[in-house]
Amino acid sequence: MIELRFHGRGGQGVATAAELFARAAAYDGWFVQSTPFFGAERRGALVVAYARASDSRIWLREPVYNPDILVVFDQRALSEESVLSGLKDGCKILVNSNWHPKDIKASIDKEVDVYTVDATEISVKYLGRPIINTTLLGSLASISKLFSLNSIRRSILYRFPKINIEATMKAVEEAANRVVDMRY
Amino acid sequence: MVEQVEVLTGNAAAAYGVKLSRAQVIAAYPITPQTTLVERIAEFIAKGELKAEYIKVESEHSALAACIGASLGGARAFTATSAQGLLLMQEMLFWAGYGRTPVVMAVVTRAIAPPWNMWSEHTDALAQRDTGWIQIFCHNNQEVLDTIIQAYKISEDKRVMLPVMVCFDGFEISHTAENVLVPEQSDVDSFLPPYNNDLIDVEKPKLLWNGVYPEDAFKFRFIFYEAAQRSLSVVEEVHYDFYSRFGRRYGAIEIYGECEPKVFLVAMGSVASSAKAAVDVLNREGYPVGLIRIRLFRPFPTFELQRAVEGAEALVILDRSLSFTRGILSTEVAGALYNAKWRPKIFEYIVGLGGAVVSHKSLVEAVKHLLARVDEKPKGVVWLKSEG
Amino acid sequence: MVTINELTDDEFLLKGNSACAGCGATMAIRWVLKILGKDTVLVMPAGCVSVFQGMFPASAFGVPVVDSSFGAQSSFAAGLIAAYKIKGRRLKVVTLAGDGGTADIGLHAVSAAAERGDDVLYICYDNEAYMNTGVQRSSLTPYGAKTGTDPKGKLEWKKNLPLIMAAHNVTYVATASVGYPFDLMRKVKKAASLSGFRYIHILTPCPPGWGFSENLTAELGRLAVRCGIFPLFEVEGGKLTLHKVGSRIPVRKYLELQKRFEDLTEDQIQYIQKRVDEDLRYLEIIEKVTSEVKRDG
Repeated sequence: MIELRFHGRGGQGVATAAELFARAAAYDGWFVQSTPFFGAERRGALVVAYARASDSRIWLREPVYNPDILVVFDQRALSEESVLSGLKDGCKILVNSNWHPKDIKASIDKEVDVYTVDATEISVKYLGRPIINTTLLGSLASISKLFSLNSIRRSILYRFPKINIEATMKAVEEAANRVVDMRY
Repeated sequence: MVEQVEVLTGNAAAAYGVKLSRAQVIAAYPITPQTTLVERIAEFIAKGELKAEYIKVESEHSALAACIGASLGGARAFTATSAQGLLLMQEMLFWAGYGRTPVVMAVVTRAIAPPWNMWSEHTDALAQRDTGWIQIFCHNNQEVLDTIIQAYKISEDKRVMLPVMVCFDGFEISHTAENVLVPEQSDVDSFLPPYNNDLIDVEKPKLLWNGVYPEDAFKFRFIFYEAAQRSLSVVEEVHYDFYSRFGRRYGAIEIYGECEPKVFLVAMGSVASSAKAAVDVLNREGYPVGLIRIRLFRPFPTFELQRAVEGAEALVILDRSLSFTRGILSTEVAGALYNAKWRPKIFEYIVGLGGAVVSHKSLVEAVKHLLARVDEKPKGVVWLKSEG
Repeated sequence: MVTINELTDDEFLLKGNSACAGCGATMAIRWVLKILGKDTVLVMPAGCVSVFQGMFPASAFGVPVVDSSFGAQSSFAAGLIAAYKIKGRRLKVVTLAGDGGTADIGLHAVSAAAERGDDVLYICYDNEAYMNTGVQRSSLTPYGAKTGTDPKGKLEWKKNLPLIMAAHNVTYVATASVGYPFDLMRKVKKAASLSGFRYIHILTPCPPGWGFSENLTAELGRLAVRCGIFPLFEVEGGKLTLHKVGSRIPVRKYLELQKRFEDLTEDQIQYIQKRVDEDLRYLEIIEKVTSEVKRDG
């Protein structure tokens, strides 16, 4: 089973990202689960969402304590204790940022693999607004190899039938190709 | 039969269940964590996917009252609520139970105030166990969808004619999305025919629910009792019928585990789901532990439980409820086993109250700890604090 | 008259509460409490305010607060008032509830309190839907507004709760809007100086629920009054007094700023304009007729 945790601020579509991921992974044959954090969400407050993908039915009903993949929508959130809690060696961290991942890895005390992508810039380029949640899914697909871009497309269309899917998928594809690996 | 794979939250799954059951009158009042359920139904109606009247009532007491009225008029009715809302409609719960109106209600379980708390506990639903409703607890989203459909078939059976509460945990199930297979409408239609019960007859006018003297009252209660007694076998019939058409097997209880268990966890709802994850870990490590999941709470499956525990040394009851100083599930289990041939020891745990996380690791730890002392006498109720 | 100089610097609605950016209710409550001051106990049911006041152990209020169940707030308050009466304690009891808790589930208890003439100031903050639980319609949701339970727009006209309360013949009834804070504060000051059942109904626009940008709350509060969809009036001693503010503008100017009205057809907008005009004329007639009322309270 792969466990993911998504961190961001209220209003950025964090919970939706977890849901879109789960549906895309389900289309590619996984058993999935996605949950928003169950707090009173107010715009601007820190929020978290969880997702899991497994080859058998998932019985867990609890937060993701030790994520295999951490997705961070807002780089500044990395300074919050809750965001880095439970991090294990080998965890892949995807951050929405224009920094090089090496610079972010410097302040994290574990053997993690950091990836960055400037989802804000990419989404503004194709969508006119910083709609980073759908964009980040592209990078997540490259890093996790859990689902295909086509499944992302289906997943987004199911949830947002009236969306400009062509523009959205351009952002997704660019984010898939432009994600920066720490080692390069 | 082609079932469509969807990824749905528990609330969405329930809404699909209601749509597929072709409910005709919906009367509901919003309360967290039920809201997305009734909103999805409103959306189905707005899009023409469900032909139903949605009554915008001003309180939960009125919500159930309206459903009772709708049922009298021969319509299939649905409502949903949680905690405070369920408590507010309690007068009407007894009305639907003793009045034998086949309404189906989803109870998205939530902690009762005070203090205010939106997260899950089972006390709200379990505190209604006297109201004459059949109560079923679901532990994942597929089960929620399937059970709503089964609920109508059970409740409308002429041998039963009792309302059914489909209960599932707020947030852990209601707001968590999982893979769900959505049956085809035509298949559900062959399983669940339309509701046909017209009580109001102008040719032969009768008075419904007026005053009775004690002798008649006693008889009416007995008639209710007989229906309640019959309901267990009807539930089993419906389970079997559902299995033969849709391939998914449900029972009054479910036994889970890879071995001959010495010890059984006993749990309901999302706690049972976490318990399954714990049992998987324990079995992998060689511990002889299983799970008895109670799915049907009313009528309580006494016989099935007695058979299931034969040979077991101990039961570890995980109660997500509290009745003064004891968990409600524990009281029921103990009562059901009192006259049994085989009576294992009972260890009572209170877990997850107020929505506290019931992590599988904490259950594994608790069981291992207990197995070391399983020969001791149970020392009363234990409160299990769960941490990651 | 309330002037800015006489306002206390004390804050009774504290920063750090978890209200949404641009929340109209926070604006209203802050001003209300500045006028009422320290010797106030708030009784409030479930609603946006009971949530943004904070989770244990925090409280966003600088006055004592009693949380009640949804709909029972007037009865909780009645008990408190009776106890203070018997024990001779002098504290202002203020019931603070949203439109859902007042007009729907709480109406029976609110009506009973009004009928008994309970010595309480009842403040209804009207964001025109069940906002705390997402966005579901209440009886005070306006015609045509989209909500989660009315995805195609509400078909029923907004219930006129202030007039219903006035029909109970209580000491004082007033409507107010966050677009006109000094008018609001004047009314609170007046109500606080009276005894018996006093009712103030405040329009508190809601950015996420109505679909507008957070910086427009006060503006919408003004437009609602200026287009006539939310008239300002007071009822005291049986007399209704209407306040006209500036020149009237078409309802369209108000509706077009809110996403909840984005699917309105031209016919519906004209219908709204017509009904708003009629309702205003109705109030004008009541004002004229009741000006001749002589009542000693």
